[in-house]
Amino acid sequence: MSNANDFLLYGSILIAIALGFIVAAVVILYVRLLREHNKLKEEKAALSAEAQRQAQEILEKAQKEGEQLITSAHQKAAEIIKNTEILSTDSKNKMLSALEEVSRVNTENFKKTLSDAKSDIATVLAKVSKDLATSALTEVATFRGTLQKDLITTQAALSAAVNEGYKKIEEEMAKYRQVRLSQVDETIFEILREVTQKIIGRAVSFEEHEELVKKSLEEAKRQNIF
Amino acid sequence: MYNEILSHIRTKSEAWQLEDEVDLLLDHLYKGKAGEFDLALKNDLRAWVSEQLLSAFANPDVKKDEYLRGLKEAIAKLRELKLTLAFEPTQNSIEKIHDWVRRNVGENIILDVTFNPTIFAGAIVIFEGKYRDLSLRNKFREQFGENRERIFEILGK
Repeated sequence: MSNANDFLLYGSILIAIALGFIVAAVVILYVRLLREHNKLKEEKAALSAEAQRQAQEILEKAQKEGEQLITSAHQKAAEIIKNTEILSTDSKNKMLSALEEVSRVNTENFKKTLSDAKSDIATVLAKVSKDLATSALTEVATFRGTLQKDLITTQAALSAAVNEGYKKIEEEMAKYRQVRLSQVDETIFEILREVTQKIIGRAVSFEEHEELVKKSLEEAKRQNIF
Repeated sequence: MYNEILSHIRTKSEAWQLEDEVDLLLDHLYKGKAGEFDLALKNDLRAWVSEQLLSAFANPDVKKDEYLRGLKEAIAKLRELKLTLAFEPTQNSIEKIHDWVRRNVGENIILDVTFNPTIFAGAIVIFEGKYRDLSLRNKFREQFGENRERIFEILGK
């Protein structure tokens, strides 16, 4: 019984390990497959682009060659028609008129294309002009705004400078007036002082001078000079 | 120590004079020949100065150079009372003023008197950095300031 169980256990483990290996192998293969797929996808895109480019080149070449062939054929046909004498004048004229018709139609088409182009250019130019005008107007408006701002600033600065100058002049005048008044005061005082001095000089005796000095010293003492 | 001799000094110029005399003696003491100091003491100084110094040197404890240098320092420490007067004072006037100062202010004060007749009368007093214009001119100026308008009015008539 025990052997059977062991066999089952070991068998299960073995199977599980084997399944693990298989899963790992599958995952690795899947990753590789994905890489290969992406590589192929990129190569396909590159090939497609190359093919498209080559096709474009071939088409352009064919178009050029076709145009050259048509031009050449047209020239040759005209030459043959002009030079042949086997054709009747009527046929020649019909062919010539047919050629003229083709030429006229081409010319008209060209004119029409030209006209359309002109119209388109006019429209584009009109649009460009309108854009330019709008842009110019915006620039002008901005410039005018800046100018106005500068003007206001300048006016304010000028006004301040004028006021300052006026104030200074007023101050100077007041100072000058004060100085002149002081000078007048001083002059009158000097005149009066001289007169008084002459009077006192004669009137005050030596003893009175000494007495006045003594009184001055007493006054100084009262005023706590000493 | 020096009160007696300094009590004779009333003015700044007197203080300078005494200082010069002390310098002369010190000069003789340090550089002169023996006996020159005593000669100078008797012959080159004012009588009262000579008398005061001889009296001081009579004391054997007094060293001459120390005493003289001390006296010089004491002269330098005398306090000055600057007075501007309207008249040129006589010696008698100076003595009167100095007496008043000694009695009312204190000792060791010397007068530095200048003459300025434009102050009319009275005095301008400067003492230890304090200034007072107690002249008649200043009183006159004050009166002029107070009665300025009236004076102009009178002058305008």
